[in-house]
Amino acid sequence: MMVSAIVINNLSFSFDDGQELFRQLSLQVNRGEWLSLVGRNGSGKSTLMRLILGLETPSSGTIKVAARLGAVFQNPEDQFIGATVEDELAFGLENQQIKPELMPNKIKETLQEIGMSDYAKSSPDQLSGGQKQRVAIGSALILNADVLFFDEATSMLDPLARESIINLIGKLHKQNPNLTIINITHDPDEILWGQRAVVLEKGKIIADEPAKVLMSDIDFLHHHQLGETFVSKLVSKINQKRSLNRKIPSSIISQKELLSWLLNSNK
Amino acid sequence: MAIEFKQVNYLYKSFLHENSFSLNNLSLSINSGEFILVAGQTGSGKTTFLRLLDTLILPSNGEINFDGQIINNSSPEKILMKVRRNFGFVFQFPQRQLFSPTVLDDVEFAALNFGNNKAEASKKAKEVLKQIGIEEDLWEHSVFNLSVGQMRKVAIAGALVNQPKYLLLDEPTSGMDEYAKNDLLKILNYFHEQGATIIAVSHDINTLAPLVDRAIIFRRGKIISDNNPTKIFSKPMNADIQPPSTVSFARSIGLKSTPLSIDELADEIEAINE
Repeated sequence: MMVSAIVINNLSFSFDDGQELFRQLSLQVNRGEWLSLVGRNGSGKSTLMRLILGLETPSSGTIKVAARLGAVFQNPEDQFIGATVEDELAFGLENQQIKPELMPNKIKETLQEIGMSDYAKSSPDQLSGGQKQRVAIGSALILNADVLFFDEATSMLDPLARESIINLIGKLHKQNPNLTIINITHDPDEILWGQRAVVLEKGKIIADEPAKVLMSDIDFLHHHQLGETFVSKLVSKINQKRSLNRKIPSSIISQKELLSWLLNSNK
Repeated sequence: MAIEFKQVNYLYKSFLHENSFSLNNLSLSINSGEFILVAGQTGSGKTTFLRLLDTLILPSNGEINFDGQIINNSSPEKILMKVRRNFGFVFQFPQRQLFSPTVLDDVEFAALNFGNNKAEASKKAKEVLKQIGIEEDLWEHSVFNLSVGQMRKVAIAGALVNQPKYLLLDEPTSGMDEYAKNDLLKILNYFHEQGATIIAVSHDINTLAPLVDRAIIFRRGKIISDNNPTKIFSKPMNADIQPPSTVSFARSIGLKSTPLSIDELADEIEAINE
């Protein structure tokens, strides 16, 4: 049976200036899901996350959370307070009133999990963007968070660091089947890492389906001005140049699929 | 030639290292009207380079010639202000440069600062907001209720409203959805065609490489490549920077060319099939 981690019922919310964003929004997120929250700038993705985290108050409706929440933001510097990486992690433990003698082991384990064992004594300022995001993930893990929110957490990173963070999230999700990932992203290729995609448009959920299904529905993506994967864009361009009988199916959305299609069709 | 760096060093004081170089003996020229991408890993000196260009910081030694005006370590604020009027700067985190109660106020403020009267400022602000794709129903909203991508557009509008000769952008596409990126690219292209010089620090090689005339790659405070993007990405890359996805894909199917846009890549793929 699916166990829910977050249940939102009839949520309504307006900004201070009266502008309404959500009206009667409902959404259920199951434990262990990797959900991408997708939508154009201003569609309400980050505000929905802030409501779930308790950083904003709904006008009406309920949000039930049966999990410990952790969040990683676009700019991790905004959330650091420790002088060193291990201080940063210890801070979370202190907040949980963990006995000091238990801390070193817990910190060591977390550093290993996030691949930062060599940086325990480094100042967060000296770390690269990707390393900072690793520490932010560690700060959530050490609090035993079982729902991790990522709000554009890879968008400031160079492509290599971005890939390493996505790989780390993938590894953590694999290790712990109960870990729920909610990833707010504009990167179409990142959406394919999750199983489920929820699309917001002006505060309304306009799609909630498997990530692969959403990303192959090119007409829907165009109509709602959502980005396509790199491969989808390439396939459309190639198809523009091809006769009807040689078109590549739009269900091909990953590099692997396209490579094997191109190889087979050339035989 | 419009801007020339002559043996510029920038040293910063660090608790750990006596004197750390952020930029080390940098010499280069920037020509009027160029569209330049500046790339490199975090900490390579890209942002320091932008800040020197905007005279937010001054060279520790060496000098920078801005259209005949020499700037060095001892240049007075009055001269810096004069140089700075030619620049529009969009920071990495736009929320740190916005402060007015509404979207329209924020862009107007930038125009008022340049001696426009209220009516002129308002007219210019509205024009540039329309151009950049901030719809009218958002103009009276608080900037701080906007999404990151929308905030960045407002910050860019504020930088463009005075039609600066030089536009400096730090990670301009980050946090922007694809369509917002397209709006941004259109407006950058438009200003480029009008003769503005644009210098963008960005990790978003996929988006910017097809547009720029020149790419400069930094590593540890030094320039390691400075050329047109096709030349730069035609060579096997080191660990400093990943080539655009189009180039990686071309390599994976054995193509020798360096397509920077998806259009070019599609052409190349069709060429081998014929």
